[in-house]
Amino acid sequence: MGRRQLEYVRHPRTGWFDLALGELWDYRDLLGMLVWRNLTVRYKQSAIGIAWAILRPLMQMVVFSVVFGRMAGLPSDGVPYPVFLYAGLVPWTYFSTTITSGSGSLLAGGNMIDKVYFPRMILPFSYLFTGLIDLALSMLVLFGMMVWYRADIVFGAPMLLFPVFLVPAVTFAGGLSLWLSAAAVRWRDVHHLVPYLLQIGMFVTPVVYAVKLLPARFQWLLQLNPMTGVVEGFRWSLLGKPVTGWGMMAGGFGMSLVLLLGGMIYFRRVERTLADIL
Amino acid sequence: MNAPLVEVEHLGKTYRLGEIHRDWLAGLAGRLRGRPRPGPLPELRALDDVNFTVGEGEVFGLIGANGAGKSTLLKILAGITDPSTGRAVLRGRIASLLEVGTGFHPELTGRENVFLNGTILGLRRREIAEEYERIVDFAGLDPFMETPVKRYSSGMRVRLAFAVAAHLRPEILLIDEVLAVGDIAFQRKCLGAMKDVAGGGRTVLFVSHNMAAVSSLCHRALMLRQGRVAALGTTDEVIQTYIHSTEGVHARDEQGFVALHERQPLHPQSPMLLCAGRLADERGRPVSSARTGESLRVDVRVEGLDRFPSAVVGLTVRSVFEQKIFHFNTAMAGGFGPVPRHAREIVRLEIPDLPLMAGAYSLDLLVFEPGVRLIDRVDGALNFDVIEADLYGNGYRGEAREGLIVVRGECRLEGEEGGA
Repeated sequence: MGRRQLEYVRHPRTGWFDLALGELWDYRDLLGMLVWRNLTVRYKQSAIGIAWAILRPLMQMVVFSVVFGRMAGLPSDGVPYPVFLYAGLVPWTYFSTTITSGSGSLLAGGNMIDKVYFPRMILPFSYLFTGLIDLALSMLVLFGMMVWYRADIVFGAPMLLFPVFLVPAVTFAGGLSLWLSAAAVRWRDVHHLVPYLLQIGMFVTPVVYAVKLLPARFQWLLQLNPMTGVVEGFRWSLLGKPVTGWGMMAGGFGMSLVLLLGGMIYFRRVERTLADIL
Repeated sequence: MNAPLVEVEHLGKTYRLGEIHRDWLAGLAGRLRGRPRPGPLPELRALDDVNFTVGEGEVFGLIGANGAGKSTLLKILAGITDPSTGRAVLRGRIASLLEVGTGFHPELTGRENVFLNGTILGLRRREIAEEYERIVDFAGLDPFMETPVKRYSSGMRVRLAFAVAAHLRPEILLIDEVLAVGDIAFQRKCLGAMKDVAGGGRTVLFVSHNMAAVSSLCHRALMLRQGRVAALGTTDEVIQTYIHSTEGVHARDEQGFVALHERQPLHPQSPMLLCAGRLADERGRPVSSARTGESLRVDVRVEGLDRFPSAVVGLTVRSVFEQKIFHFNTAMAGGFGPVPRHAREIVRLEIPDLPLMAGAYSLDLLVFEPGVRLIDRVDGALNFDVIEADLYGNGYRGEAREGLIVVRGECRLEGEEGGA
């Protein structure tokens, strides 16, 4: 018998820490296919297709620039407001679309879950990567804007570092998606709640304003939000904006790591009876 | 001796009934007003202490009425849901087909869906790419592979989905009756294709309602009744148990009658004479299937037939494709003669030598006054399976592919005149 003898045991599972990461790796092709499906399906039969990925944050940018930049006159650390805003909107849009689709991914994939076995974590995770592709396209627009506004861009080493700040973004979005998608199976209320949470989230993240707008003694609170680190990191690396409070932001990243690990454990618990309650 | 490929020990599964998402706010409000806390939800034992093993290369049938636990068992084996008690060990690569075309997305093209569906079923992309030409070839859909699946006919969709499934290379294949979309010939082709493509000797667990399919495909079978093993053994033995179990698709009373009350009359003023119907064997025991060449008895409970002295009661047997195969009625059988009629009666129709090939059939019941009017009719009143039998005494087994009707005949050789 040359071939590897596989053995699967089906029994009531009880443990807490069986994360089955190896299995996730075995199904990486499915993850790739789902990422690609999410992307294609969204833009099939639309006239401008993938351009929507660029257009959505762009339109938001125009509206917010008028409201917050012109009318409210929010400061933007010496960078033209639209550029400042867009550098924050790009990672925020990534975060909010990922959470929106990720938190509903188990409900949407109910039919598949009921009919075939695969590691369920792949469903929310697939949206993390779909979002990254949208983000890459939006980045092109950002670079275009930076040239258009002739912002004082320091083309240099920091600029190559912006992908580093995607790590906390993916970690936080991934952790939150796991919690929310698993909880949404049991409590559909989550599904109704997420849009509001995201709306609040955008205002406790310095997307349309600068951290400095807050009194110094409250700034640390803002910096504990893991998305603050991402937005500030983008602005630091791309626009050369000085940033303070890295320590707090590292703490925020630490929290999102804990959130991700906890999310995986909770998700694996829910996964056991998922097909029964969906 | 090799260990069995599938080993199931004391497997059980309990579902909690009732709503999981009970409105928490409403519950709280109720309790504040002094209503008692609702008790624990009732439970359903979908599976209870199931034990069996399946060896290498065996085709194993799982039968039972709706809700007997067949699909739950398959889902546990496939890893879709956990059992509540006991365990099952499966040795080898598993593929489960609980549905044809799981994850098919209507907006994606045929080619895209082949890759999506294949990876969902656990194949690597490289494996699908290697098999791709053969899959397209098998499905016979080469010109349509760049067309979105939503423009496919349902037949094309099934062919494509099945082509992907047939090119999985599992050691253990779990199939629900999804493949029962066609007739037994199609099922045979599907299973045959899977065994051939995979290189033969695969272990198959096959869930089906179609006794004919189980009988011709499976070596051994297991019958579940309310989550428990009701019979386990050779397919013939198990099917025998199944035939005589009176639980069927419809609710039946203790005599095996299926009630026909819940329906609309033909016309607002038409009386509903047909009350209930059942199938029985020659000894009058209720059955849910019949055998080719043996007797089929249909008992029809009627009410108010005495008001229509010239009425005839009849039945029409149809294939799964709704094609009428034959009609038989009381007038053909010579009528009842001048016997007094009662308000409630049972009309018994008997066909001594059932000429149907193995397969699934349904029958319509009707009451009419010949040449005058149709009084009452229930389409699809009873469903039944016909199971193949050794009709010619030499082991020849017909298939529905050859035709729906069985005939007997003779043959002989005669030298041609002037030839010899």
